[in-house]
Amino acid sequence: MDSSKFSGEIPIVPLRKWGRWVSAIIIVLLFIALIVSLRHAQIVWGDVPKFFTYRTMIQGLYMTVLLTLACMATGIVLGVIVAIMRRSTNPVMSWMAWLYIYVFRGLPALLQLFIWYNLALAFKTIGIPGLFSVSTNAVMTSFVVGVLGLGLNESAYYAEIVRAGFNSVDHGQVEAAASIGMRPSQSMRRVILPQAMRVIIPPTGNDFINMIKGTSLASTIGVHELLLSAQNIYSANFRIMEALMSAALWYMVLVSVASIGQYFIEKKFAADRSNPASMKKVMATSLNPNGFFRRFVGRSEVPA
Amino acid sequence: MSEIDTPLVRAVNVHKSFGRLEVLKGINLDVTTGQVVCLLGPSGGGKSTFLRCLNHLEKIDRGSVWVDGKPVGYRLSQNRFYEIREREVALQRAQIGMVFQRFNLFSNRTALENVTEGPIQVLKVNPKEAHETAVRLLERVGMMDWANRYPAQLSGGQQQRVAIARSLAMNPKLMLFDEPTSALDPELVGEVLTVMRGLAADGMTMIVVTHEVGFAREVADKAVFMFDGIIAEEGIPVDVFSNPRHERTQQFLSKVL
Repeated sequence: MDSSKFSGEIPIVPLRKWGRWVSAIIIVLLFIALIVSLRHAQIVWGDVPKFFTYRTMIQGLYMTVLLTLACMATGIVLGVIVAIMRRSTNPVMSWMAWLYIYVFRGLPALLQLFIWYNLALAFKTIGIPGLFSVSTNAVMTSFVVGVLGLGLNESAYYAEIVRAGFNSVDHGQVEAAASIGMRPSQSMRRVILPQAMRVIIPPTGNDFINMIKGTSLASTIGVHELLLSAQNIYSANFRIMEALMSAALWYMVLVSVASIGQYFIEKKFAADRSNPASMKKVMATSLNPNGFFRRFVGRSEVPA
Repeated sequence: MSEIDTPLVRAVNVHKSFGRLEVLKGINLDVTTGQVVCLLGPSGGGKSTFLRCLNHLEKIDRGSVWVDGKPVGYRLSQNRFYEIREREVALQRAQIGMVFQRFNLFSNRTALENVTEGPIQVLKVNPKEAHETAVRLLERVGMMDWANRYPAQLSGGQQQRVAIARSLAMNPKLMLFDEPTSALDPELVGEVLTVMRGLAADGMTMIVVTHEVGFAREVADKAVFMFDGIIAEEGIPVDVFSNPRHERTQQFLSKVL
């Protein structure tokens, strides 16, 4: 065909995205079915908001938050130390770090909790002979057991995250630091760690959200967090589903708050100053309320 | 030997292997204060490795490297070289500037912060003073207008000029350049060479691994040709370039000139 004939403006017809409309209709129908069936379910829905604000539930919420923070703090501090040991030129150090990760990552968190919980069976007292000694049962409160069990488990994972972060920093950066006379500790603090943060931050948020839910394991050793609070409620009134639902709601609230926090922290750190393109990318993100609709109707990306 | 006769840099019988590959097979080199020495030769000849041995970024297997009368990376005591700790080596490196092929500017810091980092962290200069020095040095390399940019926002030539300023901020006795223009687009090579010419003219002692034969001929006091881990030929550039005696040098020069 002679293309010279088409010199004028010709409108462009976008590809019709039928699949989106079909899947949307199916999903809406499924949701309606779910809501209808939940209305017929034997759940006293009025109890859910009631339990939601029970004093014991609020105390459980407080304990869940406290335990999450304590476990993550333990995990991050120990994890960074283990990661630094792992890359030490001292073979004893790096081997110890490897063994630590092998053990604490290898064992189920629940099993670790039980071992710490029952430590008094093996050791009546803890201490250094001749210096001090305390009763194991006195030290190992359920909260301490929770922090040890979940925090040490987390530290092993976190060490691997930090290690990946260290490995992401170009070796030339380390050589440049050495060439201006920086000591290894300065190079770690001023050059490697700040640059590794970009890689470390996103999985940290992920681990944090995991930990919020993971603290429910501590209900088995008597930490009065959200799940145990719900269990206490339903053991008194047998409203089992209702109590679990209100605990579920609290977990969703906590995870939502953490996700929003993660979004802002990531935005701050992901704005990799070494890469101008990535600074633009963080502006256009999935949390943008326009994002879903825009993608649904198939319009192009946000203009830069 | 009097002070004046002591070379600033002295490499004695330097050997270095990576696994079974012997990269340096006994390098001897003297560089006196204020000299500009260019290391030339084909890739894989050991030039960069030798340069990296001079500030102990690579550990040597045999021989010794002396800078300013002191062995680099070791302490001489009772006819033995004792390895010293990395943080003591750091003190030695602080006096030896190094410019890398890939610039290696700290990517999380601005141009200005790259230049102030060493003085503040290593020399413990107060930040205000470090800032003044950095401004002066960035002006010297023509980068003051970009002082607050991050490395990724700068061209290769601009990054390399900032890298030179960063080294100079440590007030080094000696500057090492590891193929400073090899990673640059051709039109950016000139701006970096101009800065280096200025440094040479100011009397800085420089050891430069380079493929820029023109620069070597013009600026260097001594040209050194390395092939397969040995120094094949060295001398005044004018002589060596016009009358290469060694067959390998003749071959190399016939390709690059």
